[in-house]
Amino acid sequence: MRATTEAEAKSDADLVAAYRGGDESAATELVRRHGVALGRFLYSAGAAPADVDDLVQETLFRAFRRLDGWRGEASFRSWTFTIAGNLLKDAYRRRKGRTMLSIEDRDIPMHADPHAELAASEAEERLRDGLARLPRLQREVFLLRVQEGSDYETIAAALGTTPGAARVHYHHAVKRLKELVS
Amino acid sequence: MTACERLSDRMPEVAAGAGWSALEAAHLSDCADCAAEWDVVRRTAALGAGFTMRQEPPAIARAVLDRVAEAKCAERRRSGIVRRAVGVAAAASVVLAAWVTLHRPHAAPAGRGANAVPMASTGRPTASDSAATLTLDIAELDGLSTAELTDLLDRMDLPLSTGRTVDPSGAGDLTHDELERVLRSLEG
Ligand SMILES: [Zn+2]
Repeated sequence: MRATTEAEAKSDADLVAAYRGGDESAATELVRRHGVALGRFLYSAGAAPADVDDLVQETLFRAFRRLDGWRGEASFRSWTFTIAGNLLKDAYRRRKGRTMLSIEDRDIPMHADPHAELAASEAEERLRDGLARLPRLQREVFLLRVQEGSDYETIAAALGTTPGAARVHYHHAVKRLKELVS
Repeated sequence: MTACERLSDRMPEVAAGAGWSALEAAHLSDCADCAAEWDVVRRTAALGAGFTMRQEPPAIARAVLDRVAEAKCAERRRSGIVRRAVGVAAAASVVLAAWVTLHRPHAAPAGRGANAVPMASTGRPTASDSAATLTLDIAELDGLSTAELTDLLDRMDLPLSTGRTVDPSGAGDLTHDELERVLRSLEG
């Protein structure tokens, strides 16, 4: 327990340094810290629910394999999000641009009011579909801003753009989502 | 017409748990643009909120680190194969260069001239043909003495018409020492 507490107190940069020094528990803490957020990002960006766990693992594999690529300009989390974005882009390309969502992938839990649950689920799928249809930068800026609460400077550093451009991408995303979703 | 963006910058904060001020709440109830944007932002913020991973972090980390270790091993194996392939290609190029150099008429080493068999008599391309098309000058061969070069080439000088082929894995009939010398001269 004590080791976990110590790891929790460390910054991401400290954990990366510890992992490089051979401390594998630092890698576990990084997974604990960012795995779920990565999963949410991938799911929101259109990954099929059944694929999310595998995509999280693939993203983390790529991240740990080339940790030298993270130089700390962006947060570790947003850096892994860009790796996840690349993975999704490859997956979209393999599927020839079709969205990764499919009716079979919908997880519709049992609920006291199945009609209300179905409506909520359909609204959620429509939103995910809308997000998946956005250009990549718009989608990633929007998700980093809305789900992670990142400011435009952080987003710009992660995505290799400027804060001004990130703001423009955000507003384009909002405009298109309002049209696609409402 | 440009959409109202008055509450745009506040929306991610409010979606994360901060509340609207009374003024903001009043604007939101009157402004269709902001209400539509807030609907999209609020729903996106909640998207996948219940997501959990099938495996616990230690199991995921173990699987990921095992794959990283495997990938590094495979990378080392691949680079070893490439290094060996480059070595074989380099040795082959030295052998080829030696053959070309000694079959050029102006480059025939002293002491070999009288005994040299004219290439035309073997039915192979003539030396002048070779000299016209191949003008490789391999500095590494300077390290070998004339006797060593002659010996090397005599062992390689197999008429193609005999049907024998040069065994690349054994570099023909070269002894281990001779092959070593050629490779050392290549590495400088
Ligand atoms: Zn407004």
